Amino acid sequence: MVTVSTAGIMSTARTGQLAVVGLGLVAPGVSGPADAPAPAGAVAPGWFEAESALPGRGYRRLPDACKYLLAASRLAVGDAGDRLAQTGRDHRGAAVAINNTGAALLEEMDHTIMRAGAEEMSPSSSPFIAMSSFASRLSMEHGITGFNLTVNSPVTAGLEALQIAARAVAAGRARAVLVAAVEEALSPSQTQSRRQPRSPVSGPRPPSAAGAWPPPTAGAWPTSAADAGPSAATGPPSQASADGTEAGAAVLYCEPVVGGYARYGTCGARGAFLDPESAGRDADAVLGPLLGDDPPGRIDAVLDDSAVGTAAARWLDRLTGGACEVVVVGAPAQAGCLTPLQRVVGLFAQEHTAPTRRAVLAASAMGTLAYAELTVAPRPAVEADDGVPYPAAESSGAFTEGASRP
Amino acid sequence: MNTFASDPRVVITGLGAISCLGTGVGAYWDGLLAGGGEPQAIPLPDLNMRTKKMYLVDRADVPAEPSSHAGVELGSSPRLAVAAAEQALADAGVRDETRAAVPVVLGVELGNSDMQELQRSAGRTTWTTLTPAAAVVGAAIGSRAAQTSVGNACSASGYALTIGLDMIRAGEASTVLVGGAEGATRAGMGAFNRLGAADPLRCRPFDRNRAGTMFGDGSAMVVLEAAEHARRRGAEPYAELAGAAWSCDAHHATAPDPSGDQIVRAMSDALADAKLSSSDVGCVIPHGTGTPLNDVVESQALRRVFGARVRELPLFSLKAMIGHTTGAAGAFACLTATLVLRHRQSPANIPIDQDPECDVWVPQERPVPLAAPAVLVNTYAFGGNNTSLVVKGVVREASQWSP
Repeated sequence: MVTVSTAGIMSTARTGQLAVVGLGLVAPGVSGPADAPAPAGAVAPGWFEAESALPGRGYRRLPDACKYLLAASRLAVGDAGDRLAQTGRDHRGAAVAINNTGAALLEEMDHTIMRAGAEEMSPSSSPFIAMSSFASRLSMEHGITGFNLTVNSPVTAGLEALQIAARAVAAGRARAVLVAAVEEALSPSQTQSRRQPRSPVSGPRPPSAAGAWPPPTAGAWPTSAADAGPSAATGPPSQASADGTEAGAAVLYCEPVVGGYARYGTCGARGAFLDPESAGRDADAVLGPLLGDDPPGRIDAVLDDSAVGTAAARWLDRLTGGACEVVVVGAPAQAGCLTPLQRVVGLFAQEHTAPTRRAVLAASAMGTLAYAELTVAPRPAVEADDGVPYPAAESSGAFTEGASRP
Repeated sequence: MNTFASDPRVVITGLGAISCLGTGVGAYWDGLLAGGGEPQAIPLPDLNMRTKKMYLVDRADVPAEPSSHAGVELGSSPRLAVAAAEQALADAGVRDETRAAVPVVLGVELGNSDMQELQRSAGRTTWTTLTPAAAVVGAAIGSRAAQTSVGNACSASGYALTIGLDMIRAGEASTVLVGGAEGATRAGMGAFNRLGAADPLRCRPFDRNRAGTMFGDGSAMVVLEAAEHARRRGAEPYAELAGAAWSCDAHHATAPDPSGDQIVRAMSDALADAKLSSSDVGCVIPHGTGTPLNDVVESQALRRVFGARVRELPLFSLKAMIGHTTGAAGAFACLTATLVLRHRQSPANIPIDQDPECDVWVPQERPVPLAAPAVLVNTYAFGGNNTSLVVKGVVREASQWSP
């Protein structure tokens, strides 16, 4: 008889950290990282202008999700100055999170098979039967030969991509990683959602999508648990559109903390599992170790109204009255993995005068949980070109708390 | 003490499998020695395509439970995953009360597609996740640790194995359940038919008449464990997962880079990670899908890594026996490598009319005794997403492996 030791829940062990050098975001009704927390605009035709976001040839026949991912990646790579160009191809990686991307196309292809036969399928669409195909062009476009990894855990995949990227960087598998989440609209017939978003639309009205960027204050819809009463089930509107569909892409250009350039700060992520069958009973045993006993000043929690989301929201109520502000972000049941990583982007884009700790919690109805901890570097604002030269890749110092921007 | 600095090795202490060869690792190995499985008609409606066969788990062997998870009806993939997971944990002696600390990392691509396709044929169109399997396994085994689902198509579980390896090396976990699971798929078959990549006869890698791949379903699971942790609890490892490496062709959406540079790099880096040389490899389980260009490029890359020795180095062409299990292929290959090391032989391959452009040794007459202490596993995928893994024997001294 053999046994395994039970020296704590290993899932909550601290994983490696990443330095965040660049941000990129493409989403309806959102003009840049600083207004990432804004409620999503409608996923209506024309919200994304491929011709301006992706000038050049060869994009027309790609699925929309590929275009979102490529456009947001260009922004993140550009935001990181010439860091990618300074990094050898074999040291470049990508970790891309995908849930519903490909769902509408998959349905369309399967309907074609059912009604007309496989020979009537589009040959250019057929490779997208594989989820990782949505990220293939990313490697080609940016010469990423280190690795290109696709994760597809429901809801939590974006934060898992951060964790996997941090682990891969620590293991020497890359020195620069594009961490991305991308989603594409479900078809109308797929969006017969069984549940409504956790929170009704409430709080201040969002700014116009055509408003100035960055807006005067990013993340304008925090609703603290203290303000929310006995349940934290209020908060900003969902970042998915009303039909339960997410669309867009969020990308972080990341490097190792040691030798990297923590322009926006540093982050790490970890995961846990809360069985939906016993979510209420187990919440404390799972969420307690996952979040730890030193909560940051603000936690954005992306939760739906499933048993897991409800248990997590109730558990977060215990933070009421403390120094931690809990922002519950309502997620429709069919939400994908974009919103949690979009939150990370938004939190990094906020202005602070001192290093500031933030976190994003994501939970899926399936039971997967992921928690990303951020230390946002002090910066006056995200600006397109502030005239400050970027340090050379692999030679700049790590961000340390209290350090000013290089 | 909860660190394993004195012995940083990661070992394989449990195995589980359910495939067209049957349920359980014993049936699996016996099935390989007997020449593998035969393609069967896919049990899905509306299969309007030329090639309609896969290497399938006997439908009587597909567990009926769990039939749903968090309101999502489950197809065969998550149910097969749970069955293989339970086998692997029981095999490793990981007791119920300790499973809360075990993370799960699965390679899953089309996952729950068979259930979705049945529903679609019945007029039900509401979308539910394709990839519940990792969470379903987590619930079934009582895990409270992270459940990760990797979707790198045909190399998904190669990536998953590497993630599990890195988790243990980083000290995040002492034990990780890693594997892959796939079910039958109409959409996947249709796409491969449309791309001209579905062989109508069988999966026949390195054959001059190969005409694409043929899918298989099933689930393979391995328990990865810190060597010191295994030793402390008295578990006897099967083998060591000694090295792993990733690369990406960044060349084409579906076709491999004809230069093979990145798959050579993955093999070389995996050997370097294992602190082994190419001469330490006694068998290769290639990606070998039966897709014309893939098999040629991989054969050429093997020659670059192993030199003239490639003609004496036995390949075990696994997909010819169980089909291409896509997201689970890396896990099946790792499991097979472990069994090759345990039994110190690679099974005889299915007879082929070998393509002279694939200048590698695919021994077909009889099993070949293992002449060196490591087995190299390759997994590749659309987009040029490559992994190579090195599985190494743990029991016997290296000196005993002299050819």
